[in-house]
Amino acid sequence: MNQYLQSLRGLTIAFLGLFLAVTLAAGFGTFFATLSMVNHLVDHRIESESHALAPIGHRMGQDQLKQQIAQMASERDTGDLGVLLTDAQGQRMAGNARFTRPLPLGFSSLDREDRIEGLSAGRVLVRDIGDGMRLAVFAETEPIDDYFSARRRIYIAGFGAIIGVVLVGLLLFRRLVAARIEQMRLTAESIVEGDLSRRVPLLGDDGEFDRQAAAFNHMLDRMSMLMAEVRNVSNDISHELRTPLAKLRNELALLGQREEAVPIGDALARATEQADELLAMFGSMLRISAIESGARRAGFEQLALHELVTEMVEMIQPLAWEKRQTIIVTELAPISLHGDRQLLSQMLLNLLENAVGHTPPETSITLSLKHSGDHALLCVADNGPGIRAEQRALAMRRFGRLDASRHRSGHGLGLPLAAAIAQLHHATLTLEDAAPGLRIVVALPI
Amino acid sequence: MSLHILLAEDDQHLQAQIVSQLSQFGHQVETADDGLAALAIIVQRAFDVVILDWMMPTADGMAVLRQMRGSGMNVPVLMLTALGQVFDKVEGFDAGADDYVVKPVDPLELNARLNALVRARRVNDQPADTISAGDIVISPARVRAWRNDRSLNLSQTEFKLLLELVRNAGSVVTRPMLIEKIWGHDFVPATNIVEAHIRHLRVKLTEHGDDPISTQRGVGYFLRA
Repeated sequence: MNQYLQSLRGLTIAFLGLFLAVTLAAGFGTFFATLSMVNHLVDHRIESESHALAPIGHRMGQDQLKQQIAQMASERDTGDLGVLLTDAQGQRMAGNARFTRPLPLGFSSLDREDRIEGLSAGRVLVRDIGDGMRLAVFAETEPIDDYFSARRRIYIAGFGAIIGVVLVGLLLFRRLVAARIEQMRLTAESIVEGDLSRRVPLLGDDGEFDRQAAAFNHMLDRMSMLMAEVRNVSNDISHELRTPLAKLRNELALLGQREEAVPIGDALARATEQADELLAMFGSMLRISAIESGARRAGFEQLALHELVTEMVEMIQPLAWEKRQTIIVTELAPISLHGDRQLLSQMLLNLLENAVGHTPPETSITLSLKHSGDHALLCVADNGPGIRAEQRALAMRRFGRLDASRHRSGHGLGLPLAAAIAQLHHATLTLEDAAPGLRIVVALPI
Repeated sequence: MSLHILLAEDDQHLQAQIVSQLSQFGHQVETADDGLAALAIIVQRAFDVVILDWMMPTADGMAVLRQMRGSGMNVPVLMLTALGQVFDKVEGFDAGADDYVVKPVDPLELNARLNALVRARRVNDQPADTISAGDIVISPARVRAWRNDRSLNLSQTEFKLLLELVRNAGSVVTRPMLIEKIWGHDFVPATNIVEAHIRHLRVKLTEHGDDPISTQRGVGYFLRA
């Protein structure tokens, strides 16, 4: 319940419910209070009229009574007053009204059902004035025709208008709040996607929302500064290590060119290749952080993904042939999307290198590219040993090599690099069980 | 091939290092310490190729390059860029740069690229239907190649690979150069894909003679001239 009240919708509904209840209670309260007040006034009036005609404790003759009744009935200002005098048998003796039913002694209400001429609703006082005679005096409680229904209409219109205004106001308020919160959500989402430059727009009114948004933006500024620092540190490390390593590698390569190095040429070449592997690792790390910065989005262009697939399959083909592996393209839908040609090529090649490099000879590798709703689905599957479900997360981590014995099968940055490229394109990269083998599915929004 | 090279680089240490390395390859190197000095020398003497550092005082590499191209000088230009300048190279090519090398400079890579640039300029200067290297003849226009007058049955990639080797016959062509020229990629694959393509090309070439390609481990490939 508490949680419910803390949500905007819950609070709105609770407030609306409470407001309706209070408004209705106030409406009905006012309605019935005025009703009972009118009844009280009318009761007071018919009581005094009744006593004027037949004072308590003062017996008067029948004729005198009839005369007084006739006189009262003929007076103009008593048009809304009715009088009826009946004898012990209930027969009418005098008066200007008839009743369709016997009325109880004391005060009671009359309404339309009683079909009294010129009267829609009223109150009546019936008194026993001795000798079995009963004097009924009644008066209207409605000063005008259909007074109560008119009043009901006024109440409905009045309170209805209040409810309507509050309802519309509440909805507008809710929309305003939701719109401002939506701005914040969109900003947060694009931050999650790696676009750290996005900020919540300010209206400039210095209201609560603006101040909230400003605080949020300030937090994002601080976060992106910290992240840039972290990235810079890791970039700096890569840079700083890469430069001396590259110099060392270049020295080795130059040494290998000299006449006197011929006897140890192979050893020098191996050392150079090892340095190249290390450099490739730093290169990949720097490339991943460059991709994660999102800067490459600026260079996105419209490209034909199926053509890249064909190119990359052709590029990897000789390596597969040498391992007697087959690469089969089972489906190749023409798909055009917005992206970075170099990076998507690299992602495709990484996936194919992964499949060719991490599976035994004579493995079959299948590749497909197809439409699926508003996504392009790229699947690279092999029937090799696959990756166990519990190890898939490790495979996606930087340097998360699964098998330490596979020395030359890459530097453990291939899949993280592919995943970073996928994320830059708002795509998802998932590892699945191809039973047997591994299937990598990349879902790219078109 | 001995080249006459201008090197514009403000880092004295790096400048001296590159001069020493390029001299070992038999090139004659002149230097400039900043952009304006480079422009002053360029208009006085003829060079086979110019190396411009991107970041230099007085006038940066791009400004020098634009000035050169603006005044009609078509000498090949190779830019030196700092690591991680991803988009600069597009700007560089747009301004008329022919190639670029990322610091720290690999002297063998630099030498291979300088040779390739000068050769490409010479090949373009003499439009011919066919280019040859030893007993290999290749026709870029007809996409055909022959060895010892016998036609070679090459895939598209193998043809491009052979064309690049023939164009640079007698010099080393590095792996990154091949990746760039043949596939147009700015990344080097993790596995040795280039090596596999070369092996396939070798198989077809050796059907009609000995192996004309030598592998220089850690550097690249060399086709006999």
